[in-house]
Amino acid sequence: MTDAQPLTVRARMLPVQRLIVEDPDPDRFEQRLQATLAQAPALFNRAPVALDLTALVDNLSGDLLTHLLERCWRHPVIVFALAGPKESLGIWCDEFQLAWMDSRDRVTKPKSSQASPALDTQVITQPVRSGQQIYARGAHLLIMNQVSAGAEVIADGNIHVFGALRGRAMAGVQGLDSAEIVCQEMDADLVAIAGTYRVRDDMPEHSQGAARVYLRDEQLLIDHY
Amino acid sequence: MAKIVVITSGKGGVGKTTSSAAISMGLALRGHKTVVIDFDIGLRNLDIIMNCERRVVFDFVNVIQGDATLNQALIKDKRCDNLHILPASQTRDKEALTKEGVKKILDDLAEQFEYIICDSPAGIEQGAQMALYYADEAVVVTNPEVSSVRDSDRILGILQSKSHRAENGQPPVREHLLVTRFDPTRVARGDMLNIEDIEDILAIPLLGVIPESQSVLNASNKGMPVVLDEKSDAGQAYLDTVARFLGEDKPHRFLEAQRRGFLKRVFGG
Ligand SMILES: Nc1ncnc2c1ncn2[C@@H]1O[C@H](COP(=O)(O)OP(=O)(O)OP(=O)(O)O)[C@@H](O)[C@H]1O
Ligand SMILES: [Mg+2]
Repeated sequence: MTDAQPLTVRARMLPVQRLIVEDPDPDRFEQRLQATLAQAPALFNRAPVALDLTALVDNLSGDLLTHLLERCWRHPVIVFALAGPKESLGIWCDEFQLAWMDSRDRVTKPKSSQASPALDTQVITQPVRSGQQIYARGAHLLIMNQVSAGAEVIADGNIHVFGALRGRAMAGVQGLDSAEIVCQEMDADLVAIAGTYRVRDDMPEHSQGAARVYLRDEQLLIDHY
Repeated sequence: MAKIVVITSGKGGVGKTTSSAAISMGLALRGHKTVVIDFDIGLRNLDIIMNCERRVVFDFVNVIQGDATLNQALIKDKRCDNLHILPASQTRDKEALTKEGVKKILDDLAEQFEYIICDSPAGIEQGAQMALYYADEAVVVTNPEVSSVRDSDRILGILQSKSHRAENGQPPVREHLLVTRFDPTRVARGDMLNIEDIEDILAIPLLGVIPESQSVLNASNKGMPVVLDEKSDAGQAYLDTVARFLGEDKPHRFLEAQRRGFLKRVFGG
């Protein structure tokens, strides 16, 4: 071999879902997995997933791990890593050829700056109707229409709605806590940023009109205009 | 070019079949060759409202399965030559309808008729999706209540994403809002949504408002589409609706509660 060039390495903040496994029974695990998938099919479809085994490290075995992985493979989730204490999981990662991840929250979050990473923007021009779910993976979501009650709009980045927001909106779902939700008419059932949410009952009354939703010091704030 | 129009709602019992009968008769009375198809397989009742249930020999499913020709199954309305009915089967199950089968029938009908009205079954599942799949236009029937409006919103989402037009990137299905069983007194009391609320939530153009009316029941008991009762408020509201559908500009009527009688005004109530 002569002097071959090394491969180009491109570091990027990967959107990773962590599935937290607390119950070692494979059947019950699969039931809960199914329930999770049913809630947000778009979020998991062929997305990289890490199994967080922190709660199970003391009774982990090759058999148990094989069972859990097999159950995952029956569904459109792709397990690429185990998450939890490195001392206990290291050998299993080696044996199953999986990557290891820290299980502490937001390790993938850029620490230094609050600026959003450069994300694409997914644009929706039609109304988002009850029963529909839209997920802008690795992107901001721009909706040039209304979001009906019973609809769900989700983005890794910001969500802007140029119309009434009556359904559920979740921005920064991969942990980007500088994400925002902006809408022309605020009438949402639920708003969430990086996992911190408020339901309708917790929002101030008579708070219709344009609004901006953002996180400050772990608090979800809603400004009206 | 024939126009395929689905009458749909999501929620059951809101007035789809009543509206299908009234609108198709209305179009036929205005001189347009019209056929109305009952997609509610297993629960025939369009033919009862049209008073032709005793003349049904073959049905929609027979034609799809090749047991009868289209012309054997079509029933001509006795009151209006321009109107034909393609009845549903009472005995078959819904699985009998296939996209290919339905397409073949619609193509054949398109050669003979100007308007093809599809009376959808309730729900958002296969039966309802089949009825709307090939639609060019949709009349979304809604009652002034939250659950009905929510279901209409869902159906609009399906029209947008799962219709033939949507799947093939053609111009979207043209959507019309038809509010039925509108009771101004209950709206005034706040028991029901008003028209502005419904328009605001669904954000599609309003085609018509049909008042809650005893005349609808009377007409359907007589096997008569309510538009044939020209004196009735519901009949007139449906005729206006048809006129607007054909592009005429008509103000909406029957939105206000009737003046209360003298005694009621004196004694309250
Ligand atoms: N404007 C009206 N005023 C009073 N009663 C009405 C009106 N419209 C419909 N109805 C009544 O409501 C009932 C349901 O109507 P219809 O059968 O047309 O609804 P549908 O949406 O076709 O129901 P399904 O979902 O079961 O097919 C019938 O008894 C009908 O007579
Ligand atoms: Mg019906």
